Amino acid sequence: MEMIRKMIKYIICAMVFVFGMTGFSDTKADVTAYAAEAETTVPKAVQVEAIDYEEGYVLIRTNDNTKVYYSDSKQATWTQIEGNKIDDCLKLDISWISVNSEYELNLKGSDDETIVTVELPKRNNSLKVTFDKVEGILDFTNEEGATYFEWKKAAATGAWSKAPVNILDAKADNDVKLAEEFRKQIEAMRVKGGKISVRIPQNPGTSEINTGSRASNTVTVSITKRGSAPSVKVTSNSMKTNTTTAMEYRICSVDGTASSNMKWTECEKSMTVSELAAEVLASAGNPGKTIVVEVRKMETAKVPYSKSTYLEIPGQRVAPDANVVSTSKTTKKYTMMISDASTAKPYQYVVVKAGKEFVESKATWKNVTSSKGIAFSSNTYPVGSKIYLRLKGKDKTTSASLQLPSAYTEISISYLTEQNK
Amino acid sequence: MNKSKIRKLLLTLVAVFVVMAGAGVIYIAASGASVSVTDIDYENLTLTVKANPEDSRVLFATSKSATIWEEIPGEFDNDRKITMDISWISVSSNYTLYFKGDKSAEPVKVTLPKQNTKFKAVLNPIDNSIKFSNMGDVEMVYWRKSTSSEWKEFKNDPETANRIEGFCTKGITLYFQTGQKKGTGENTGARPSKAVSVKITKRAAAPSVSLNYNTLTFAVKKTMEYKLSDETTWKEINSTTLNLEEAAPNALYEQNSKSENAGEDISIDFRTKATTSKVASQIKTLEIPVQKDTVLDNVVFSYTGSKQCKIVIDKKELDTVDDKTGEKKVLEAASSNNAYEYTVVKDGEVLDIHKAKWTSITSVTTKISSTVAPEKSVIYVRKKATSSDLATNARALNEGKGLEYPDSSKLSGDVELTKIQGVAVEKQFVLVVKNEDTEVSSITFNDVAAGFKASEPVKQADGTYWITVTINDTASIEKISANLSTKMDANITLSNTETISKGVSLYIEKASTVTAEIYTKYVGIPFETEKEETAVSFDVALNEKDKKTADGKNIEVSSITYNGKDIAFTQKVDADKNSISIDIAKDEMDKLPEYLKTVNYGSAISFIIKLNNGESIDNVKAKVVYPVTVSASESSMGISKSSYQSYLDEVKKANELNSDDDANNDVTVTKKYSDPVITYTINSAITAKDSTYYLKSLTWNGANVLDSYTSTNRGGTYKVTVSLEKLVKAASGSANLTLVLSSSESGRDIVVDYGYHITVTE
Repeated sequence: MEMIRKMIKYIICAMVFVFGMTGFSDTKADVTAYAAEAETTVPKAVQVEAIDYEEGYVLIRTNDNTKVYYSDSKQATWTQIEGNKIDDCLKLDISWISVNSEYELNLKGSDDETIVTVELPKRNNSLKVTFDKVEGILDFTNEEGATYFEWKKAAATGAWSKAPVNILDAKADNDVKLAEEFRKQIEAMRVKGGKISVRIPQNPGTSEINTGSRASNTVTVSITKRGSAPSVKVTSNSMKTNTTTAMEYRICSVDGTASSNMKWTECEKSMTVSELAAEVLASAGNPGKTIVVEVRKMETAKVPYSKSTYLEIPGQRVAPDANVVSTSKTTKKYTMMISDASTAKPYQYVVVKAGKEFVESKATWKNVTSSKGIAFSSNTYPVGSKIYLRLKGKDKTTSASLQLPSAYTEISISYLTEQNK
Repeated sequence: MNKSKIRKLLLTLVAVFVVMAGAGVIYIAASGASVSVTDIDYENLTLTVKANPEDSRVLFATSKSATIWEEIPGEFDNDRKITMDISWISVSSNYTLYFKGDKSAEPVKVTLPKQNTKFKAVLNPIDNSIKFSNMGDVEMVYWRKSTSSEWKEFKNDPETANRIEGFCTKGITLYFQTGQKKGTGENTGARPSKAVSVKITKRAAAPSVSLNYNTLTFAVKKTMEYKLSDETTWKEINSTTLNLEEAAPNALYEQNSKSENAGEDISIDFRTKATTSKVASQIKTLEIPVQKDTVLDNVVFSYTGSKQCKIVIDKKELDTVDDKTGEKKVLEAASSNNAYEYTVVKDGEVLDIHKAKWTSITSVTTKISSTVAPEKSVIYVRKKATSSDLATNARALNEGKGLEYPDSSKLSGDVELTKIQGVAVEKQFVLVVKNEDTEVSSITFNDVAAGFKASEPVKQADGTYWITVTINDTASIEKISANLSTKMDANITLSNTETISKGVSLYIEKASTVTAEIYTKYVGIPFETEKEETAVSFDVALNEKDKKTADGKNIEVSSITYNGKDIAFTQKVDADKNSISIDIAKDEMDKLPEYLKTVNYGSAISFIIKLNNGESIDNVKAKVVYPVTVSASESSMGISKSSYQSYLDEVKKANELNSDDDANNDVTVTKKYSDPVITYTINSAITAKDSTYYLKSLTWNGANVLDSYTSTNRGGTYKVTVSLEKLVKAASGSANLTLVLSSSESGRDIVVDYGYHITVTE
């Protein structure tokens, strides 16, 4: 639908262009007819056709005067405007006229010496522009009622771009687009930071009466780069992150599927991976889902939000199969052996005395890297004590990616009774 | 599969299709193939990476084995492309980046090229083009003004050249760089080059150039160029002068349809040419008036003689009517405000209006000597340039023919003139001239001018004119003794500058002279001199040998007059002394007082001695003098006998009253009469010789009226009191008082009856 709409727009544009051209050639024919008639016409006072402050010229219709002269307000000396006429017009260069004060330019023809006075305005020299790094917009002072400003990268040689002064509150469709484009480009600059040039554009003059206005002074505005991304890590052992309350996060994707809810959520201190996204944990015998979490420093009143750190947290593995665990008991000892434990496949366990509560994240896990038996004494761990077993996780390194510890298996400690003996 | 998964799949299919369509090859995304860089934009400084379908993020790092990979923020577009900023990457060296997806883990290496820093741009001010070098394999060049931040495509075309030309008015700095070549992972393209500046200097001030309205030549330099203002192509100048007909032929009358386009100007632009290192200067525009023709209707050429011609430019009303005023056209006389000028083109030469030397004509008549305008030369005339008009189109006089001067003026015949020094005489001769305007300017003898008068030229049958010249004043010449008694040739100068120095000669005889002398004759005393002789005698020196009268007679004194009266004299020629002795008798001298009015007594009056050759000598003189001078408070008086008698009676009565004792009866009588006192002084020259004079009598009307007298100075002065009592007793009448002095030595009387007059009435 969007594409079709665009196509229709282009067609209309093209049609307008073609009709415009036709209209233009008609006008040209009129001009030619006028010129033919002009041979018998008496020269009249010269006229100002256009004033372009950017190009720095006044376009003067000579009205059949052989020469055109100009002078300043004193009218003491008159200088001939050089160059050859084009379509009965001469271009007077005005780039030598100071932009810092008003200038009275007087013109007259060599035949009709009526003096035509043009008051060239001075430039608005007091424009001030600052960058609101939080909002990513520009704040204007002394823009003198201008509704648009022009900007370009300070180092760019390309054309100026236009945008509405009121960036956040643009109403017209086109203004909204211009504002968006401006913000997009500014955002792109905030990776490395940079400078832009900003000014209020000229309003070209159209006659000796309507002289328009000059472009304002050009202000160079520094676009500050965003703060570096926070260094956020997952400690595999505790499955905790080092988030702080100054950060915020959002889930970018779950198992490669882009998240539908891209809202930012404030972080708590040292959030666990499950607090970030519960789906990452294995559940009901199913492994957890891989999540990508984007974390950045939150914006404050003074500091904009930072660049982002992306945490890719693979889904948690399911708990170890009970089959890998074999036990042997005496009345005083309970020995556990994990058949496939090795340094390549480390396990971890925690023993919780009977009557004590097991908190996974606070537990002190012991590593198991061989199938050697691990003995527990009944004196220390009476019946009812429990062993929690899981596959060990891995912290992220430059050569290895993060692996969460697996879900855990619960094993109850028991001893041989006298009867059983 | 949920909805989003279906959409993703569809999008992936579309993306693959687009890639296939775009590349023209079928591309199968093999499992494990990594991300790819699809677009690098060095202008906007972005790099676009296409990810694999399974990738949710694209990461980049500067090393293949980096521990930290940066994520490209933002979202994938429909084509699974994401764009990153590369503005932070330095352009000064090659820069390698590695890309991978979060799933497509195999890093892809892309090296971004460094910027081309060797690109060069140079302005060629002659055609306002920019020459580029070291562009690499990029074709496009962009430019901007230093004041602008927008890069525009650049092309060396006429419109751009036109704009660059316009920049020269004020000067500007332009920046150039090559365009980017967009890159991909396979071919990373090229960054825009380093921007290089090209300074377009402000134009130098317009050169100083002007047209000399007289020579019709521009003073220019070879570094300049010019064009008519309404033309667009500049023309070279290869010399230090540029002639008007070359630069703007239509400004000249001869070129401009020969019509008087008065008031029209032709506009010419000048500037200093652009060089390989400097733009052309500002433009100096000259407005040149169209040249007018020279109207010869009031210009008259003629010869004044063999050595001179003349141009007369006088006011003249034409028969043609001025279109504007409706009145007949009037050509004004030449003057300083309406100046003309002429030049002479000698035989075999051609008029060069740029080099000709012109002479101003600021008055109606201008005479030109044949040394200036020799035979066969042609004279051209034009109106002199003014601040607003060019010198007019030069026109030849005399219908363009070479000059042919007429023969010189001459004398009708040789003349020898003679005269005597100091004797006024008019001497004539006749000049034959060719032109009725010819006048005699001067006649000199031995470089001293003679006074003369010349008659109006009288036309003769042969077409010549006769002028009778009368020399009537040679006084200045005669003052110089060297000019006397010698034959001098006249040097006659005519108004047409001709001179005649042979044919008229003048001989001036020295004047006769007498030694100056002044004789004194006392009234009432016989004339006598120091000498024994009883006559006045002197010699007339003739001073010139063989002096004769005009008709060859010997020279003698023909008359001597004194105050117009002939004086009798005797003369005797003394051939040895070349002189004539003159004697005048004493009794002739005693007559002198009769010849004069008494008011002329005391003045030396010349004897006019006339010779029979016309000479007149006047330096022998005589003065008639009273021997006695009379001085009184009045020179005359009058008295009535009756009033005098009543005055005497009144005095007598008063004396009687005042002489008695009764002082109360005393009266005062105003004194009305007193006896006149007169002083008579004998000339000292007389008393020196004879001091024995005494007062013999004082009478009036025959009656003795002397009251009393005193004498001083050995009898030279007598103070005489006249008795009124005696006077009133005499007969009434009006007469001079007569005093008689008498010398006791010689017995001679001096009768003085001049000087005091008395009238007595009853």
